[in-house]
Amino acid sequence: MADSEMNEDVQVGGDMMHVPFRVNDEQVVCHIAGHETLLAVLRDQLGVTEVKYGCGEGACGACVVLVDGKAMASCLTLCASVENADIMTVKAPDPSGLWALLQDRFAAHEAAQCGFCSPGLLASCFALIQRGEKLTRQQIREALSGHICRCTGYHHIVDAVEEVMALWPVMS
Amino acid sequence: MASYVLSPKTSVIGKEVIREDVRKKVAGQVLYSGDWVMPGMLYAKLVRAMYPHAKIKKIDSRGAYQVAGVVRVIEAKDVPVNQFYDDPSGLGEKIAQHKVFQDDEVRYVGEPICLVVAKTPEAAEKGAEAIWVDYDVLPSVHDPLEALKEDAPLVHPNGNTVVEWNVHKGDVDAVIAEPGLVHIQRTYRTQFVDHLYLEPESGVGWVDNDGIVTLRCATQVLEHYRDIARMLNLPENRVRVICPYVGGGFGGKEDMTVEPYLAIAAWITQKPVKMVWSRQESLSARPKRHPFIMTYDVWAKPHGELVAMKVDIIGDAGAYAMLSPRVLFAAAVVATGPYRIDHVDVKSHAVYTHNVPTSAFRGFGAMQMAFGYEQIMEEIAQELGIDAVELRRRHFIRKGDRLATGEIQDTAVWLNETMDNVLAELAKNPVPADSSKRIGRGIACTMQPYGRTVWFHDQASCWLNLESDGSVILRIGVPDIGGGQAASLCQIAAEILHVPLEDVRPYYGDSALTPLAGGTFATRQLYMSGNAVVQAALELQEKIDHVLTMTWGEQQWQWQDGIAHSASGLSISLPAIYEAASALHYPLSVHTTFHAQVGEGYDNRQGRAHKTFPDFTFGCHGAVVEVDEDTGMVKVLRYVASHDVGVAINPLSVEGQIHGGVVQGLGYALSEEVVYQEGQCVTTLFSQYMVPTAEEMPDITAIILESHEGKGPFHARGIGEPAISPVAPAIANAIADALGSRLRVRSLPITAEKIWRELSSTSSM
Ligand code: FES
Ligand code: FES
Repeated sequence: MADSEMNEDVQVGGDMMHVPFRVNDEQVVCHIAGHETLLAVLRDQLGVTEVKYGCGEGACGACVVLVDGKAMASCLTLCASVENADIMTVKAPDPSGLWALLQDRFAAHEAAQCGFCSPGLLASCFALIQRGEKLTRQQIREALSGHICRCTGYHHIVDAVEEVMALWPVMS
Repeated sequence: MASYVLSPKTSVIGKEVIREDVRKKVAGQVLYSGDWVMPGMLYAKLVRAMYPHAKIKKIDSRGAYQVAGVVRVIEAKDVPVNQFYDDPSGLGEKIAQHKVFQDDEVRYVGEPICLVVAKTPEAAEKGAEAIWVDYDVLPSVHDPLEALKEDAPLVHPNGNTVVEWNVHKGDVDAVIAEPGLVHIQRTYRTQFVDHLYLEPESGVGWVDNDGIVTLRCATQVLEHYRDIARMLNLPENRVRVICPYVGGGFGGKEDMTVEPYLAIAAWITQKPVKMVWSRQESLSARPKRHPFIMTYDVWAKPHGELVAMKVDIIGDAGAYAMLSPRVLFAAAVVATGPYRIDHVDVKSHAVYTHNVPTSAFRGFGAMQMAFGYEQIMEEIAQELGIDAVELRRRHFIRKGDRLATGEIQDTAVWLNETMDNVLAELAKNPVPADSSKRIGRGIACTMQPYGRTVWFHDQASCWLNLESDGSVILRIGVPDIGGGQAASLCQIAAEILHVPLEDVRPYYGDSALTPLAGGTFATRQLYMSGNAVVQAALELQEKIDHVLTMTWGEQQWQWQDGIAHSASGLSISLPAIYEAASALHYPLSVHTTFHAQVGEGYDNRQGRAHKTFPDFTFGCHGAVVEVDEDTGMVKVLRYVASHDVGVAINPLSVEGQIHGGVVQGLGYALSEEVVYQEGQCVTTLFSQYMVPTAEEMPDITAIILESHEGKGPFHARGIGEPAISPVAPAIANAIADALGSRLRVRSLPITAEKIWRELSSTSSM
């Protein structure tokens, strides 16, 4: 869909528009209607299926991605608003190793069961860890309160995040 | 069953093994049902009933065809057999379940009427909105107690009682005539709740090259392919269900969700069709947990001996039976809890109403009862002026005892052990009392069955074979809904075959390619499929040993990491054994079926059984809560959960099951409720359905005990459901303890408002 002549954000008739942005370091240009959400475009146009639909109303966190490093619910984000932004998911190239570390510690603590909440949750954790603060367990819980996990009871998730927080500055 | 030894060298049982599926999931590599796409795929959307009870006069679908992209509207008349039948009690009473599409009389809001198939999801949605259904609205009934009255509107022609179960032991009426007994009666109520798994109901259906109707969907039951075949009037060998990793089930994907609609749409259009239910559809129209009204009567001697108990249970089945007969049966079996009481009468009814149907949900009827029996134990203890812990201890059932149903409990009962652990843990670092807040402590001890009732003749098959390179393929038709179902089976195979865990590959969840193992429900998978894998692995090991002896001549071999060592110094690898087996024309492949313990059907007239469920898992939970007097807000300060799991195959997964059960239970106890007003759901948004977030939840101390007595593999017991049942009563008891003065909220959820009302009822006196 990224036709060559559409490399700029040209409005083409009606509601439709071309929006350029980057997903996991890859440049894309999407032809979209003004009302389309980032979630719909990522999943249906770009096949970025690790971003999940859980509620469509910003309440579950399954669709969270990083938009220029900030964790955002893609179901509440208009695709038109991410023009030229850098979108990252759990499958992003990983020069820093933080995604891999998060994944490894999540697996080691069995911080996922069905795993449907995981990609969104890891995106928030990535942003959280990058801020470099040292949080208590309760503060970690508060920071992740936008994510519903119906399987794990959160305890193992907090274990994993706590461990990554302790390890991260040492590694970077 | 054949025996096995745990080899200390290679043992992976009891180890905290990292699950391969979890690694894939956290890396975003798993394609769930809704992530699947196929060329030329269409999208389907249901038109659902707007009234709880109405006659359909006319369905006008012309509007839908005006919508660009709409391909087809599918209605009742297009379905070869538009009706599902089931025998939910398993005792031979076929009950007409819901239709695929209702074309006559709608019985709940959200009942499917027809299906729009279109080229895009938006077109399907617009098409569905453009269909005009003309109704004649009829009077409806929404309260099960009202539904039982003579003049209540009938949900189905045969009356509003779905089923009535009886459990009868001793002679209640005779013993309660004895003078000097203390008697109390209490009623406890529970609410509608939703599974709220994060993955909505979803799947893709298509007709494959060979004309097989194929569904790749989120389900807990592969065997629904048979229902689909009946619906399409096709032979059962023409329908296939594939189930990739499921994004949570908890019982909500046990009944069919998207399956019939995907199948009929793919069959009629001969194109791939996708359907994903919106969260709103899921919240308002998919089956919920049964609200129960439980009335307990208990009689005791003043010094603290329980003499008799009567329990009356009313479960709101909603508009269709679904699994209500089984849920209400499980409720009846455990109604008196894990206590020895000689005189018992239980009546358990499922009642039709024009509410959303209710069906399976983790805990399956036993969970609601725990909210009843663990509170009545506290309340009678209070009445008698004795310690509730002591009262429990005196009455705990023990191994060898006869339960209320008359069956013998034939495995270990570690109620004292779990309770003592919980009490000891709660006693550590007592929580300081903040003067403005009230602190309370509560416990609950429960029993929860695992496995299906014995007259279902449950079975699970698997196919295990050695490959030429020494790797092992395990084929087994389990749906993996997140609990590590496939992973734990690999552990079992690796253990018995003495091979490294990574050498065992599971192929799971495909009705055409993996032997059927039954659904992932009733905490049966570890018990059933686990035993099937034990059986298969032992047989395969025997074959391997046979090849070793035939080829290399020695009798005694020691295994380590997939290599057989002989006393004389030979070391034989599995690839070499495979080659030797080929030369002997001796296949190293086993297909086997494990049969559960079976027994006669339940004698409902006598209210007795030789056996109901294969076994139970016992446990105790305890909580410390803080109640704000001014607002009624509750904060859970500490939570401790202990279960005897027989043997923990993977302690990390067992702990995960316990943590997850506790948090789901805390939501049930304190905040979750799907609210219906006259059958209309008013909590259709995710944000209106109050599930616990990480912020409100405490850390959980899980204490896993191993009695080495259970009926699963290596004597494991099921833990999926048992982990959720004790939570609500433990919290209710803790809150009552905090409130004091015998104040107690006897209905779920125990919201701040209800607590505040309780508190203000006394302060005004
Ligand atoms: S789908 Fe976006 S928050 Fe739930
Ligand atoms: S692991 Fe299932 S929702 Fe989090």
